[in-house]
Amino acid sequence: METPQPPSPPAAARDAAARRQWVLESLEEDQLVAAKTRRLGRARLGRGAQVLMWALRVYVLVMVAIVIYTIFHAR
Amino acid sequence: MDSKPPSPVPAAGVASRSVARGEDGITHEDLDRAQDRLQVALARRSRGGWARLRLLWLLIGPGILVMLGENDAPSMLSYAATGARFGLGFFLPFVVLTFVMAVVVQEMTVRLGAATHRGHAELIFERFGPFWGWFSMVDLFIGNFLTLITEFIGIRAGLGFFGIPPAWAVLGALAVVWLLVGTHRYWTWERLTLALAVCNLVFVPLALLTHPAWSEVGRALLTWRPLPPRGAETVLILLADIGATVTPWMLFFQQSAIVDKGLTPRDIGAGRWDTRLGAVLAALAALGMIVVTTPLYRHGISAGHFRAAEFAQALIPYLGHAGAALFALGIFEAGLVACVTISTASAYAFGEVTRMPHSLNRPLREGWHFYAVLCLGAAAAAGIVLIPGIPLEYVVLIVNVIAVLAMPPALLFLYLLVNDRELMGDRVNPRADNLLATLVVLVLVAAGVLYGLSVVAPGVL
Repeated sequence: METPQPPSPPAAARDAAARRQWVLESLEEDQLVAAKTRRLGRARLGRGAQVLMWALRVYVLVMVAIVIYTIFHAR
Repeated sequence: MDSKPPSPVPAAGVASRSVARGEDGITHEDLDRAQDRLQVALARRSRGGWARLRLLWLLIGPGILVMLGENDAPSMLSYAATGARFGLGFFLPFVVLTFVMAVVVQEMTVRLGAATHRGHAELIFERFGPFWGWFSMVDLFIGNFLTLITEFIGIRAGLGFFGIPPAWAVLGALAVVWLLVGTHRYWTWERLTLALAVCNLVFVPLALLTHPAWSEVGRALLTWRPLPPRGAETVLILLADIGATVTPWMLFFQQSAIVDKGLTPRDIGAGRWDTRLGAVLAALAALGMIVVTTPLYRHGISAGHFRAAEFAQALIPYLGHAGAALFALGIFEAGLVACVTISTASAYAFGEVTRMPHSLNRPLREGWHFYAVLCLGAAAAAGIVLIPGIPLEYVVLIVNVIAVLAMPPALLFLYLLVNDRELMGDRVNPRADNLLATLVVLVLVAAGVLYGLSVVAPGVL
């Protein structure tokens, strides 16, 4: 496995260009806060996945109703 | 940390504080994260056993925190009720199985976070849209808020054993949460919270104090026997023990923490070890708790509706006063650590969906929305605990059940995301992991249906 050389901190940290260079060498491009403004786009969901998502949502709603019933029953 | 690499010049941090994002587009968050990554790169460059240990030390954190964080006050009380009601038997290996399920699920968040550098809430919103995103957020925020209330109940009850008034107990816990996030540095926050979290292991020496029958422990772990009696109470304990280990906030927390820590695909192996180590430690504490309260079962003491302080009082004959005090402190600690981690999970998710700064590396001025959600969420839950006459026992009873019921949809999102080749590339789930994830969903749905039956048609069980 290759051994990466750690980036050296900038000699003059107040220098914006040096600072940017040092951060870019230390982090992956996608790790930068600025990179996170990039939208990823929607996933293409198959019919099966959509049916499953709805089925599990209905399951949760039904079960929550049962929990609420339990609470009132217990009181 | 044993060796100090050259510091990335404090002036850089000072300079960045003057503006949210410098002229160079670099934020304070980027700088702090780069500093952490520099340490990792230096450790990776070194050779030898110590260097590898140091590298692991630098990379662990989110996995241990999420597992010990989930050993929270209601979870520990569920384990206490398990030991007091059923003794040593089926539930010992069952609890181990729930931690195996947790490892399977949480490992996927490690890969997802390291590969995409995005939080779980952010990915759900971006890939499935706001309709499904808000469903998921409602589940998360309601579940987290109810759980936070139970953490403060645990804190109040734990410190109540020492005669500390509820208001002081709750305010003290809030102060600790605020002090931890007040460091405005992920690394410091993580290490301090880890130091608190390992105190969860206090239940292991407490278990030894009860002089357990090791042959029974071994037999239970190997044979899953004796089996518990059929009935609604068994189903409730079953669900509570699952909900004590596998819950939605864990998915959101670990993935966001991994992103905040700055882990990369190269760190996935260490992330896995972090998660496994966390699971082993948490399982030891959980099993310890079951063993601790087993004497109550043996002596026929009904502990069905015991709260933390009552458990501690009832255990005095078996643990002594010092042991009972440690038990109460353990419940307090469990609630406190979970307050920190669950509040942080909510704040991460809020920041991710609103696209506001959401990092523990942000100074207060830049990340005030994030810190406000974190601190005000905890404060609101604490306030509810202090309202006289509120029927809090219902919250304690249902919080783990709700966690189990909300988990299957959360797992479906995780399953879809971790199999999304556009996001994950070659790091998509292997077939075996998909099979395991499907099994976990089936177990959770089956547990939920069993619970539904126990309520609607108790005669069926």
